[in-house]
Amino acid sequence: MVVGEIAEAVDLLVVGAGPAGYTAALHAARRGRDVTLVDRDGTDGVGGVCLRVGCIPSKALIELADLGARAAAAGLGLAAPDLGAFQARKRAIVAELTDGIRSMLGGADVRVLGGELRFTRPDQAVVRTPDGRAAFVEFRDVVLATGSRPTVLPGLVPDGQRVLDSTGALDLAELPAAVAVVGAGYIGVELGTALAKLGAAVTLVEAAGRVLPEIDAALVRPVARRLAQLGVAVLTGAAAGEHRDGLLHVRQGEQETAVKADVVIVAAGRVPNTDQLGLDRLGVTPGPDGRIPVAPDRTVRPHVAAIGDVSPGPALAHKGYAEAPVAVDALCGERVAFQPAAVPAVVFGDPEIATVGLTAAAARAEGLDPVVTTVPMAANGRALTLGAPHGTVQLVTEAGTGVVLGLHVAGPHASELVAAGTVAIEMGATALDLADTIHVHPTVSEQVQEAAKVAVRRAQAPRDSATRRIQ
Amino acid sequence: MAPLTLNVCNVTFLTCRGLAVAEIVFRLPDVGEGLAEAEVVEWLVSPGAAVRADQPVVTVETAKAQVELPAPADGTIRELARAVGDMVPVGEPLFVLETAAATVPATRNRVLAAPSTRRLAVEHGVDLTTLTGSGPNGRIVPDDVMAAVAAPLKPEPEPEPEPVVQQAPVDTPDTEVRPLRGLRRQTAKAMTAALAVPHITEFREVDATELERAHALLRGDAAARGARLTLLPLLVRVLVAALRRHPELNATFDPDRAELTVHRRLHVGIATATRDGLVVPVLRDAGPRGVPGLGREIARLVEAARERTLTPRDTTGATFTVSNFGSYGTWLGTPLISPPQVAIAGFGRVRDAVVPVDGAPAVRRVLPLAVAADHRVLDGADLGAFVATLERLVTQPLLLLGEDG
Repeated sequence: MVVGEIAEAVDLLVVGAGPAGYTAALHAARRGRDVTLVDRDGTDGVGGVCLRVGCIPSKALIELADLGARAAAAGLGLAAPDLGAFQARKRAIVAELTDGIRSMLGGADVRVLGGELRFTRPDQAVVRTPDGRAAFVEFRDVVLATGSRPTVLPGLVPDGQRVLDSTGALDLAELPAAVAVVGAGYIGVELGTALAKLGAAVTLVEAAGRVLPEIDAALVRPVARRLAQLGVAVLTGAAAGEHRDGLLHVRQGEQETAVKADVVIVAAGRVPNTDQLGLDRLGVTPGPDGRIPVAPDRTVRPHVAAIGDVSPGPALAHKGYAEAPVAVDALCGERVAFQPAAVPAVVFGDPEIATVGLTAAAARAEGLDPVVTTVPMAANGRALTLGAPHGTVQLVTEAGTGVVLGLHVAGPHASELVAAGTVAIEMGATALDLADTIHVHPTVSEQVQEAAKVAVRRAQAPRDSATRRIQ
Repeated sequence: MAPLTLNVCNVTFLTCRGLAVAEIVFRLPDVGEGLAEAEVVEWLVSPGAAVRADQPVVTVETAKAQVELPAPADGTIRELARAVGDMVPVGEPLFVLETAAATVPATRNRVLAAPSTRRLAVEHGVDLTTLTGSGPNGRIVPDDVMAAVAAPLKPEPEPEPEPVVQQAPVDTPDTEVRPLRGLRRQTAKAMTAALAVPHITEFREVDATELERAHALLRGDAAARGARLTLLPLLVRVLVAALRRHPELNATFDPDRAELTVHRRLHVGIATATRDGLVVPVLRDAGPRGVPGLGREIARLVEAARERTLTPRDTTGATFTVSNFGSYGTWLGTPLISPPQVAIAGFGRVRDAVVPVDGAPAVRRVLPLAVAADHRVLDGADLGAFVATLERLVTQPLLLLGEDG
């Protein structure tokens, strides 16, 4: 440190104002800590990727596209959605949410500082503010919550015009005629489905053998069928190459195809933002995947904690929300642990896929004896009235005890249904508990209860279940 | 016999003549004493024998107790993986049981407990995987956690000894090599660990005339009820009172984290000589107990130590240790601290001695005592203050009447 640079003393520093970071800042302030929250974009950065340019904008777009598609399916003529008007509506939603958080941060006396932060010492960092100044801070405790950014593929670097990342895709003010989406994971499938419903010709380019390769094939089937119905072309086992003159060059084994694409959206995963923070100066070493190894209480070492997309586990906002108070309490000297029984995950495709807990294969790998009960969505009255009787409910229970190990749903409102499964798993509930719980008729949630009832009936016929297990 | 949780078996399903069968590899469970291994003492069944669930299969000896390990399910013993006399590390296979699949208990790596219960467990430092829940399917409820809070404090795992490169000793006509086993081996390890603690020790001879008088009175009272009362319970009572005034000695120290944990509850280790060697059973929650209660508990623990029937709970979690070396005639010695504890008190044999009383020689009953403390966390002044309190209470035991229970 150069003489003359006086470091300002900070009690608890939070780096990154996304879901994990702002939650940590608020929790720490409520605990009476003096909190400074640093984000690259200052107060504009509050809410992070999720609220500003990720989950929230994408759900708004998905809702708009789905509304149009359902109206058309119901025989209602609707004008083609206007993406320009959508952008205004999206901005209003984002502003309402982030203004709310900004006012909470203000009310809690959290100081928000804008600029790029780099650590200089185990207890110091420098923040380069947008106006070119360098502010030095000396902190007692620090929470790392810098999140992640989209993976950039060589040859397909986002330019904001023809090649876009997910953020750019959600900023489209005009619908491109032809879109290629590189990566058919959850982000690619969500964006591809929405753009196809809005009227674009969409091609999904996926390196693996099918869309949503990380999700059980039985759950993905209705989504794949719906993509086909929407006219979405799916290229699997495919590597995206160059984008030139409105064509994306794709290689599938020996074969090379040119896909018509006015716009290419790259959705090939995310990488944690841990490479430009000077973590070595902080005395923190990320793992080979860029994630920071943490203890159960989310601390990396005394006075340093890491949460959200930079800590191991799924890169999901709700995981970050849950980790934030644990990390802060740990830094305040409490004995705590981040110990969810399960972290639910959702794909907002058509239909939605939601999954929580163990699949049968994962349960077996843990040495458990799972029983899988599957009931189709087609048998559900409410799903029929929604015009969406597609999908399935998969309940995974433990043989013998009936303890709920996992709930996996493809179908309408799956993203909401999964909450019931999460509560069941957290509470150690059994299939009988779910079967004996009254669910509202007519709702899609009855299908979860139905699966539980079937599981109970099967368990009461031991001969059947014994046969099943041998197979 | 120590209660055991059977969380260390591997289950493989096989299909045999159209019947579902499973093979359970039974591994040496962690018996909760912080011990890494046990010695196979006796096989109670032969290969091929049919066993019922919970039927004892093998007796193993850890440093602290002999334990019978039961079959986890009905079935047939297919293989005994170890011979009598083998040292088996925790987690290594002991025997293989073949069983009908339907009767195999699920191996639960998962803990069934609501989020609020899990939070409670973390707050209190309770490892839920070691608990058996009282709820349905073994679900752990808050009461189970609070019951476990009263259970053993986990001793620090012993660091692996540095490998020493030297020629293995062999028997010669002039020598006999005796491998250390069980308790002896454990004592050797513990004493090596004690060597890493920088001890400071204070010695003092204190006038125990009044304490002995109190002892004589109480002993008579106890005898009238058919009980035997030694001096040790009184000495423990005195220690309890002194530790209340100097809680920093009732502590455990973690040098890696540079953290001292001061314990509000007082679990006193009672160093006990047995036929097989030194055992230190733990008198839990000595704080609220009166002298007769302390006496009964000490008698039970010493008896169990000599019979080798101590449970893991009886041998772990001491926060302070007492060595009553006077009971085998020692005048005074240097007690060794058992880490992570930070102090130990040793009492010698009470004897007649000529001491000056008001400037004139007088014969008094004198108790030699030595208290050692870990100099990393305590200084001579702390130690001196504690010993001064001890002396005051020993010389004037009536002061104990002023103690809150």
